[in-house]
Amino acid sequence: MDNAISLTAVPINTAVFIYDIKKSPCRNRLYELGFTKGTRVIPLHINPGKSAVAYFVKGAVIALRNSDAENIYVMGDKA
Amino acid sequence: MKKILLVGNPNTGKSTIFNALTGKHQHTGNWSGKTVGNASGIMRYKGEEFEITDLPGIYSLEPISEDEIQAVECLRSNIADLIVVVLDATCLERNLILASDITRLCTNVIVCVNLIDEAEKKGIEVDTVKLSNMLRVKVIPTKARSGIGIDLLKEAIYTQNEKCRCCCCSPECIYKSCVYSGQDITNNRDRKIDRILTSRVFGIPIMLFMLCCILWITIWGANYPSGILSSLFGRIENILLELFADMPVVRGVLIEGVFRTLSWVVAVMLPPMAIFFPLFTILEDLGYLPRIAFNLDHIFKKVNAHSKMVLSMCMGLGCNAAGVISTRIIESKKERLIAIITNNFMPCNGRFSSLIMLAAVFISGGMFASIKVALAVTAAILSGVFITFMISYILSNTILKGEGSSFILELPPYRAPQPMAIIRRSIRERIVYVLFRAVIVAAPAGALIWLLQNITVNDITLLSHIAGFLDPFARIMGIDGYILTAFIIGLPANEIVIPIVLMCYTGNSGLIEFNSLSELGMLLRAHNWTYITAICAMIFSLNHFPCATTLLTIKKETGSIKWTVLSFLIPTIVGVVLCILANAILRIAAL
Ligand SMILES: Nc1nc2c(ncn2[C@@H]2O[C@H](COP(=O)(O)OP(=O)(O)OP(=O)(O)O)[C@@H](O)[C@H]2O)c(=O)[nH]1
Ligand SMILES: [Mg+2]
Repeated sequence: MDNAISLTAVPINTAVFIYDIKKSPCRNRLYELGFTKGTRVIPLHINPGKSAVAYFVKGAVIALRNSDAENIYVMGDKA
Repeated sequence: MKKILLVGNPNTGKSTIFNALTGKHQHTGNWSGKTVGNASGIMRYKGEEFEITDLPGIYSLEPISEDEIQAVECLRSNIADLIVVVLDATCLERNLILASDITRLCTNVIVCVNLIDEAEKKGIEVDTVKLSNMLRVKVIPTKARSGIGIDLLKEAIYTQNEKCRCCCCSPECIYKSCVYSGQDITNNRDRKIDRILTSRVFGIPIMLFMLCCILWITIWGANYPSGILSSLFGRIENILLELFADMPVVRGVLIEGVFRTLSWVVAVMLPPMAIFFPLFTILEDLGYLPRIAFNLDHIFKKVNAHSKMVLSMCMGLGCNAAGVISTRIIESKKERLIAIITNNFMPCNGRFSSLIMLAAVFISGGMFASIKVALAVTAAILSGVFITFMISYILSNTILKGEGSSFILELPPYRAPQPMAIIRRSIRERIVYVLFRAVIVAAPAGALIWLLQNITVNDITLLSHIAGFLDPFARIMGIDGYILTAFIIGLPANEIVIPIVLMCYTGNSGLIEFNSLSELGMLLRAHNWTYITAICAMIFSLNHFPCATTLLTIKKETGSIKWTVLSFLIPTIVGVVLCILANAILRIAAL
């Protein structure tokens, strides 16, 4: 799908749904933490150095570095 | 005896349940990765005994970091008769994935839905009856911290005998039919707090302010008990000295050596440790530590280290050996080694009391003395953090080169700390522990010092021989031979370094009574200490070889002599170089 954007481009407090996760060393860890296809994700806080963002996912708040979150592609509604 | 495992996602309350079941005192803390090794205990119920094992938290059955590998190995080894899966009621959507994986892997499972109290507050409702029907296992709701539901859990463990049948619903489907969540995600209490504590403007200043406040309370609060303890010990010593008046050697070794060193350790070192520890535990139970990692992530990114290092650094403030063990949560081997080697740059509780003492030397009394000392110690700790960054950067670009790191960390909900539990834990872990170490390490060291002070060769005491030998080198570093000797004798435990220095100086003059740490600082000034001596001693206290316990732990954790030796050499070299530089610069500036 062409209208999927990277998770890092989503504004704070906007709910989006995961479309795909690109292959990367931490992909498995992301899966286990609940970043799976179709899951709703909401960015909540940006850290002071703007290097990481805290996301709401499956009931938990998880901080991801932008270089990892870049690999997650999301869409505005459930595909 | 039946073997029972406690398994679940991190920070779901496994250790809290373990403590409630067995009456043991496994550490708990509000962040993912508090428990990094297995712990076992016995639960007695209705005349039967069960062996309960608390495992580190796991996210799935494919482990990545060292602590998870241990937990999954234990789980897969099939040694358990029963598995208790602990779930977080506020985060069931994710927790149920692991639960359903485990019901598929193992036949004898009980599910415990913990943190029900928090779920209720957040407007999350869990239908445990339906959950039990769908998962086809017993489901027990608990509020482990207040002990509610623990008896039901014991009963369930006691009566469990049926093998469960496999469940066929997907975790998503179970979640949708059993959990109703009416929680406000983007604007609840935790988010409001986080918007301040992790904000761009206030995040880091608030962090520094909190550190400074904690140190100030510690320093200010320690004066009073220190004064009381020292006068108490002074009186006891006088009585003892009279009692043994006609046995000079016994009197010397036992009272002037052992007893006096012990009283220095207890009167000077213990009070700051006993006050700092509970204050720090409050931050830990609040859930603040992962926020520090989040706030500082960009710096760790620049130096190619893992932000989870913040957590092991914080544990290092309590004890470096504990800090080294807690690095198990860092997934990558290379980043874990960086965290292990640099952990010693965070002053542990024992050195921390030394820093307070030393800062008091160049800050004279007066109204704001304790605030000034707090600022000086804050500066010392921050310089430790700065050196940690520098060394991490150097290591990650030389001998520990590797892939850039990732940072994935849960920010737990804020939880109100429980004052009574913290006080009880502090007494158990700090006061009893320090007293124990005092007897094991400080007593022999005290006897040794007395002997060194009283055995003479060529009319000069052994202590003077040793100190004299080290003196020329120590002078270049801005300290003196006695101080360097104390650091070397203090290898087994950092909390005896300052007491040994004091022993060396006060030699045969009897215990000096003092009312505050600043007064003790004056004593050192009377022995030719200047602010330069104190600053160099602080630098060397912050940067020198780890204590023996920490070295043994590093050997055990890395399984390598090479990394142990490096962990010894790197801080020592840094310390020597910095002391020489500081001494030279301060002396030139003073001209
Ligand atoms: N409000 C509330 N807090 C709880 C409850 N159970 C545990 N806690 C708190 O939750 C935090 C985590 O508890 P732990 O027992 O350390 O969790 P754990 O599962 O052992 O965590 P790891 O060892 O990191 O995997 C602690 O701060 C506990 O005090 C509960 O039922 N209610
Ligand atoms: Mg635990």
